Amino acid sequence: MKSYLRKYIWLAIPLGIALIFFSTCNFKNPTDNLKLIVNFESVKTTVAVDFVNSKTGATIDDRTITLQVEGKDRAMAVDLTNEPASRFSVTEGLISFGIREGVTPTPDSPLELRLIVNAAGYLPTSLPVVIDSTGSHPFSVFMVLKSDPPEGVSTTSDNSGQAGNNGAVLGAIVVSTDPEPESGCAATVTIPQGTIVTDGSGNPLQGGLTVEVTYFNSQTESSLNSFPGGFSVNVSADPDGNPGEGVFITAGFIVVEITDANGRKASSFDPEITLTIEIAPGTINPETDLPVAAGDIIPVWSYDNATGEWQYEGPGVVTGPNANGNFQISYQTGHLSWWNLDWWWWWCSLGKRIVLQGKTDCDGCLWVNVKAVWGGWTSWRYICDDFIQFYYIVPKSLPVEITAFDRWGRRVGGPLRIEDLCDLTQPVMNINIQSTNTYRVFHITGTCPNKDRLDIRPSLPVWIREAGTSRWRYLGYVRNGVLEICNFEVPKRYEIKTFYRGRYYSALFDFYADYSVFVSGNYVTATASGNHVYYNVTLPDNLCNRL
Amino acid sequence: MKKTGIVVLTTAVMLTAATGVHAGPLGAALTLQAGSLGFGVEVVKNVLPDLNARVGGNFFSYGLNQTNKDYDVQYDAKLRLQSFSLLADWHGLPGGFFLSAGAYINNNRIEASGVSTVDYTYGGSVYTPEDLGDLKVDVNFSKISPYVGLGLGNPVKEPGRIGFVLNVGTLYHNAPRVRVTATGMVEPTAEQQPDIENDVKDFRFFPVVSFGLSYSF
Repeated sequence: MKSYLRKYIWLAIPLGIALIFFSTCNFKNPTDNLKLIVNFESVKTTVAVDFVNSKTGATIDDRTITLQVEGKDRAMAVDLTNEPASRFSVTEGLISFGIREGVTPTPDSPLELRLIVNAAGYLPTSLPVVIDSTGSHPFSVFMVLKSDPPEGVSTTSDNSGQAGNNGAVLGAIVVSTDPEPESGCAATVTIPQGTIVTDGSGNPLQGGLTVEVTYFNSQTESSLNSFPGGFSVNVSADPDGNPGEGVFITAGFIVVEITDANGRKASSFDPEITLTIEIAPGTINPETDLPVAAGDIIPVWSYDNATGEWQYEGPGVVTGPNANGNFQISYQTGHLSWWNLDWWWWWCSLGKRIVLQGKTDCDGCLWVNVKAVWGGWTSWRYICDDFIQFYYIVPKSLPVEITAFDRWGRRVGGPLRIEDLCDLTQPVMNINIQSTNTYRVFHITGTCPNKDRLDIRPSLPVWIREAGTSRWRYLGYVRNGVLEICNFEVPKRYEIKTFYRGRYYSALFDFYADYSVFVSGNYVTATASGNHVYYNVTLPDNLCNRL
Repeated sequence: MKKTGIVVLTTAVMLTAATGVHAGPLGAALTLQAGSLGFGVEVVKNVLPDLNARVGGNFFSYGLNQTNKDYDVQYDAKLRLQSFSLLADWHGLPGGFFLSAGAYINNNRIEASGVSTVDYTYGGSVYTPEDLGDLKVDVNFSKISPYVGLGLGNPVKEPGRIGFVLNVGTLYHNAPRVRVTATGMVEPTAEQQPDIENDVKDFRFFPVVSFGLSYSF
């Protein structure tokens, strides 16, 4: 029996070894399912800008807007392929550019840019931009359509003036805006007869003169939102003659443009002309905490449209009340610019932190408006954390109200009154969002039918609007094919737009409850796994053939 | 390979016949071998009746350069075989066969990399091979890998000093460890590392076949 067993044991051992041996020959090629996955993200820090009509709130998509990036760190601006770029032509009211790859902005070392914006029919404007982290940074630029200004802004145009061949005005020109309805205030330009008007190159303006005057009330929200350059500013010369940074609290602002029949723009006047700016009733002098009164001094500033910087021109003395019952400042100047009455205000570099209580990760990012209780100052911030940290140029000892809004502009927190943003206590703002609790991570992969082992991961800015509305809102930046979204309501129809290499792509998306999408005649199935939703999109042939 | 095997076998037989001397007095042998673990050398020592101990090392390296014209990608692959054996052979089987068991220090490794050979144009932008980056795959195995096998021939008890040895067996190196790294735009490709590991997880055994010539002393 023992011998019998032994015989078969010897047989079993080589048989086992042989089985194992041959089984090793039947293994799967590990590269069978390997795909080449390409990420087209070229820059990790991006700036997304949307341009908004201050009155209608609609995205300005009916004309070309020119965006020039200026400021201390303008050399860091690149396009979305990481190529140096500082001037962008915007045709659909939305643009995105990047910060040079390898540059890592931090709160301790932020990048400072100034966006100079021009569009036909709109007042030129600018926006200071501070980038303090990697990731995407959206900003909105509110612009004033001269022919249809928002509340708090009044414009007028007069073409009765004439200039001789030497640029001398043939008769006195006095142009006033209509009283701005909110405040009853106006601005007036007075050009004495015989004043010689020349352009920036010293050429005389000749023939018919068109004088356009725009007045900004310092107390109206839409007016303050359109204030060129914002209120945290770089100045080329402060009241002590030094360049620097600081805070403006405005008492009023005017834009004067004078052109002749040849299109020459007035720049200089000899002798000087007179600008009169009325001050909105109720304007508080922050230095006295009392309403503006005769004898108060308000600094007068002029604006350099090319650099977006302000320059101190001199003290303005409040007089009045005038025949309209308003206080005013009259100022004589030999050059044309934008003119602004601003108190040059104290500031701190590290301010208060406000805790956003009730904000969950799923509430996403919020737009936060901060405005002076007395008017004259406002600021917008895009907040993705569960707190608001004030830093960089924070107005000191200026009572403000803080209000938070969701992606669609609905108020979700505040207003919260803060007496001093530089006081380092940490107040709480309650956030109440009708959260649909739909935090989702979308994974988007593009494939080509003729290249089944190649996956494309797009990196693009995305804007969204509810179908039928006029304002595009920033949704986020798809990075490496991934987009995280909160409070994304489905089923719903949205319009979605993106921008790449100077071209816009938009379509209507019908999202179903399971996040599947019907778009451009195609049904795109979504595969969900927890909070993650996966889309596999077949790229068009013209794109695939170029890969 | 077949031709080489015939030459080795013929040479072994001829040398065995030509020397016509008996196994060495120390009960040990030196074996030179070639097989699926590469080229190797082993020292064999008879330690008990019917039981030999073997220690040795195997080495081999092979590189491959290839361009995939469909994707304009140049692949570099390198197979590095390096293992050190510590085995016991039991010669109690009939017919000159023996049973082997033991372990290898397994430094076998496969390295592969791919890089684009051309610029790619996408959406009007040109991406250079540097922009696209490269992809590297590194596969290695359990450092200590058990071995079982069958063999033919006993180097220390051949009629002459020159002998012939055949080993057939399997090395258990467990599921291969795969490391995928990528740079540049193809960096996400490395996310497939778990998929690749899953695809190769059943490849736990490595087939071992070797032929050797031994000299006893």
